[in-house]
Amino acid sequence: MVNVLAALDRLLEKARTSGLDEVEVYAKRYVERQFKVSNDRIITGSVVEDYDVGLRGAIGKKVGSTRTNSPALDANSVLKKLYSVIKASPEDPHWAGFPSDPRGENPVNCFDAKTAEMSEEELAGTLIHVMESFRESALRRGAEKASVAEGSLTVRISEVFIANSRGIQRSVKCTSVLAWLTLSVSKGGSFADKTLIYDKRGLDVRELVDKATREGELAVQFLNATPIESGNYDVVLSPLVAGELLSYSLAPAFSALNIIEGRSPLRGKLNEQVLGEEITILDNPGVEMALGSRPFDDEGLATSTKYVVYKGVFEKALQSYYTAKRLGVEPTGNGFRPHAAGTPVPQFTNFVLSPVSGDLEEFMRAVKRGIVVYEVIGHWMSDPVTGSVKATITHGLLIENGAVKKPVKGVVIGGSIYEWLTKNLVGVGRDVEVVGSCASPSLVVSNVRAGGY
Amino acid sequence: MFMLDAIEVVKLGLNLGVDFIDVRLQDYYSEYILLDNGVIREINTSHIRGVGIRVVVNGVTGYSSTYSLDKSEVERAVLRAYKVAKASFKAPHKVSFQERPTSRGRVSSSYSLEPEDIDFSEKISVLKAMDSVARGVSGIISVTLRLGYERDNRVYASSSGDYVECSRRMVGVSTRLVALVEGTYETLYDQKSSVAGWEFIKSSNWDEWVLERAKLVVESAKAPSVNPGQYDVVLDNEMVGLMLHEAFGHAAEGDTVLAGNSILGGKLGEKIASDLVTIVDNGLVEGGVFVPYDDEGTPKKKTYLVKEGVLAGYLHSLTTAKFLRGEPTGNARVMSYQHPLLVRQTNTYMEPGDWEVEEMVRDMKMGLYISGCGSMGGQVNPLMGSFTFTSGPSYIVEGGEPKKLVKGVMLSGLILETLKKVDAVGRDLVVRTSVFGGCGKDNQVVRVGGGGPHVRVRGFTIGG
Repeated sequence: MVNVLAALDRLLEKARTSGLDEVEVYAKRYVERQFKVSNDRIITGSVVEDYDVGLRGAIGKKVGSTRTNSPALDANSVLKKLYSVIKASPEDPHWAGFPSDPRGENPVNCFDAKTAEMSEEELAGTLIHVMESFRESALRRGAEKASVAEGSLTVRISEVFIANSRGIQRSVKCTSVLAWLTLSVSKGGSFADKTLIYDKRGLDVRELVDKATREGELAVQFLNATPIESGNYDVVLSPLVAGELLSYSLAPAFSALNIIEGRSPLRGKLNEQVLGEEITILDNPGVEMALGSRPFDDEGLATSTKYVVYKGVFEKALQSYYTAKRLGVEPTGNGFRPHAAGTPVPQFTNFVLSPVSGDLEEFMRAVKRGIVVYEVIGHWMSDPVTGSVKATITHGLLIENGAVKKPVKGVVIGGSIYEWLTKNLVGVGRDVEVVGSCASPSLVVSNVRAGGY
Repeated sequence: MFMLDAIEVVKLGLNLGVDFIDVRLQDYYSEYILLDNGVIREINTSHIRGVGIRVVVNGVTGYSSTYSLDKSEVERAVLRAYKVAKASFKAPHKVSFQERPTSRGRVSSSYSLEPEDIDFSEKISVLKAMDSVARGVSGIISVTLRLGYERDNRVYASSSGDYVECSRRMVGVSTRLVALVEGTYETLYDQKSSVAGWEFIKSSNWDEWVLERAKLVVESAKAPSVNPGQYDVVLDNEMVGLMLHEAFGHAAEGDTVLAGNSILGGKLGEKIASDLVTIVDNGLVEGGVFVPYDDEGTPKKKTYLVKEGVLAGYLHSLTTAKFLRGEPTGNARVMSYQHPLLVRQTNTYMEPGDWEVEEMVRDMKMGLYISGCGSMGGQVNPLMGSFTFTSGPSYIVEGGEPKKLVKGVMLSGLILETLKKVDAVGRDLVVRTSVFGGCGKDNQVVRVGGGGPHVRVRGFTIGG
């Protein structure tokens, strides 16, 4: 195995003598174990060991980066490549260098030893147990047949290392778990599915089995789903769907870079009421075992919990070091990069919508004519620049006077996320669900445009 | 290119006593430049190498990979694959392989100007010129431009005696434009890529390309939204490619069918589309991605999925072909050496018909002309049979003519219904690909292509 710290030290040392004014190294090493399933059986097991090193450097205000995964890192050739990239790059007039950080780290745990120590046999056994629970819960609710069609269980142990020529040196070891399984059910010649997603820092087997049981119980409701008539409907969004829609249509608008560069409708609206009073949003890197929980960002700066929106008022934008210096404010520890050599841009650690009252069941009972939405596709094509939210319902229930009328699929819902969360907002639940790096309760939105037949 | 002999790795597996082993070596180099409102936000190169190994032990599959090409590390990786296969013995899905002739080949995509020989300053100057043009359009408040290049060299070797080397170069430019007109924001994303070298960049008029898009997004900011409902539509070439990829291609992937997760399962020979619809998946087509062999060493054949409206076949790996009693089609692909094989599309498109585009629109009288310029992509749930995709700014058709620009829409359809509503297919086949993205499945993104002629569909669900 590579001695990462020693390799990074050598690189930094070489960089200091190779004509670069500043340099930053980001490295990630990980081991990932995965079991994939097909039709109730384990179809493959895999183990991946990988390593990713990004080197960013600056000469004056010219900046560039290079990436490699070679363990036999030839510092001379890497730096030569980096030098050629930087020399060709025009100056960035706003470049303020790499950060130093007197605050140190946020004491957040992102490692679950129990998960890391699970053997491959234990992981395979857990997967089989979860699949059984998933199937059995659907059969108990009346499915004639149930099988776990596709999915996987993945456990990753990763170590991140960051060092720069301004004295930052950080390293952290984290775990992550992703289980996604799709259950296929049938009854009377009709088919439906239901997907389970479990995306956290650690594997709690009981929690995963409970979740599989709950999702399996829901599956049969969606047999014989059809589109419904086009029109305006009240819509109850499950915590999963609410989180997905908010993540794509709203969250990127709080990035200071997007605000500066004209890609956010929140430009010029700091301290203004931009959402309903029921809406409070935090960036919280300390949510227990959530995927975005971490002690420092990808620049090595300490993460911190902060209100982004408090009772509808836009309180704080998310900053990388670059945007903070450009705006003359403090960095917020939100600089994250798409890959080792990527430029850090402001993003949430964990997006948290604060709970208020009520839950999905209560909301459903109160609906006169509306749709409860459990799963969507295409939500990622929502546009945070315009605030346009859009998705196609694959798993929904038409509700009339609090009772389920029929299952729904193939209906496009859309509108403005800012209207949904102000004048159209009816309720924010207390039933928060954490999926990946997003924590959201159910939401009720009135008068939503829906395209059906 | 590689300091590791793939055949030697195959021998390591055979010495362990595996029934089958195959090896994927990859050497991947890329360049990426992002110009954000005139400032270089990102300029970088990536060079990634590694080896992926698959073994089959008593019918059970294990994968492993390593970034190290050092012999001892590769030996460890082979052993890991062997052990993880054995860990799956509790509930294994045993595999076997469809037979095919041994593959031996060495192929490279064509290019005339090596992008790696072009100085970065020349590459930046292309984007700088585009930036000036776009920001000169009144109403444009943000211009993001990207230039991407990648060289992907892959070697495949197996214990069946296969040995294939493939090399592919792709290059392209993309833009994301934001307009603010009378307090209304509008965005537009588009890209143009090719399997080619620097000559593709040199021979295109990028200033004109970005100017057209800048004017379009400004005009679109002032345009109304479409009321949700069902409309007759004419889809342009790009939208047809998206529709087929989402509405049909994913559900025809053999691993999805085998898992019991496709609405097309068990429907071979059944009528699932109008007589006018013939859909193919082809690894070598003008404008598309270059896939002469898949990542299992199988030559990628032109595969008919639908012939004159009848479901004619699925896309296969060697193992899904065996289970589903099909022929290997060359569709087993991986994102990188790290990933296990999945059945993926290559270039999926509809074969042309005999309608002129203008004739098709004129004959429709009322409806929408749906344009792909500005589309963000699509998604499908293959078992529920629902698919969706977005368009760019489009046109309301009245009296047989495109009359008024409207904002981009989200379309939704049902796999077994939508293709039956096709009542006109154009003559104008266009296939496109992208170096900036591709198709996502099970956390793997692979380059794909798609397209077709213009197509008319009666009664498509539109959400505004």
